[in-house]
Amino acid sequence: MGFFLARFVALLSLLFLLDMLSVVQRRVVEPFTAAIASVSGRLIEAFDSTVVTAGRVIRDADSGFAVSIEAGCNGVEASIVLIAAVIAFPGNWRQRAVALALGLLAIQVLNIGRIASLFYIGQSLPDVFEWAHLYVWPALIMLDVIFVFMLYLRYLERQRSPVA
Amino acid sequence: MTRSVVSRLLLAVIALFPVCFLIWHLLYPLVAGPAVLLSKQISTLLFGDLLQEVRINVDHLLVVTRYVEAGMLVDDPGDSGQRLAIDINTRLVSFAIPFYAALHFATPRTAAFSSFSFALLLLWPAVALGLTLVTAKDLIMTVGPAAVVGEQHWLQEVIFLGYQFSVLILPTVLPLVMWLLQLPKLPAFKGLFRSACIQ
Repeated sequence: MGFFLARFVALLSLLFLLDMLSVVQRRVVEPFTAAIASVSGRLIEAFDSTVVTAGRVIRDADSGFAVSIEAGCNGVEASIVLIAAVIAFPGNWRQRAVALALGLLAIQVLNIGRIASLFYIGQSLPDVFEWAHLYVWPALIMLDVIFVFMLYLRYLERQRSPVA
Repeated sequence: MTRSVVSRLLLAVIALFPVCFLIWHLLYPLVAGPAVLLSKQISTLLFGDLLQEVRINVDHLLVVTRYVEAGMLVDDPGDSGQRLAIDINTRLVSFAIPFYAALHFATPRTAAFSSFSFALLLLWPAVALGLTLVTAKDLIMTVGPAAVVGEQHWLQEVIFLGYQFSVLILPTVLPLVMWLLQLPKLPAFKGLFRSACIQ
């Protein structure tokens, strides 16, 4: 158990340090954030013709309200926690790869939901926007990581002891 | 068995989440006050010669600098001398506390309140450190790096890095890591972590 915990904390620290390097931010995180903004914007545009996406900015042409997708809005921190937990936990690489593929997808699906919800909360409930943006959604995204990791542990347990 | 433990945990977290955030919102001085107070003391200790005063206003930390003239701190202000006030939203970092509380109390365990008190002894200093790094970053941006870190440019980089860590990572990752580290020791979750124990 101590080995898992030590490996988890070590991997977490290493990945966060990598994430904060300016070269990683410039070459990986910023293009990834732009891609998330683009996908979110296109999805919202599909349902709302007044929405315009330009780079990282999603704007409502009628109200003029806009959101800019920045670091912290891209789900990278949550992804790092999931990657560290899944790799640190004993399992074969196939199981880890499947867990990470599904888990990272779940994080980004929820993250796109966060961006879309904040875009509309900002327009219709501006007083709630700060709360939702700064406190509630970051915690919910991290809860998503917990859900995915617990489901992965449950899957591993079933693999070990199949029900007769 | 495991399935029901996981399902119950997830439902309990979702149910407790709004309750914990509401308590944090309504009883802020009680829940996060010690962290804000500690941050005020550390900021005063570290940057006292730059500051006129540091004031706590419920969930905001108001940091007022000494007189600034042409980007330099001065004792005797001329006509253009002015004080600068930095308003820091302490909730940006302190929402780590209700997030951890939701995870903690949703987890089946004995002596939940006493163990939460111990967790607070870790969370408060961490939040205070985060708020101090936010204050340091804002001071650099407001009065300039020379007044805050002098010639030590590496310290400025450390502060900027610490600021990012405090705002982006600490509030959500610290509670999760604290909670996850306890989980394998709890009887209800030992089955889930069995393979890690075998290893």
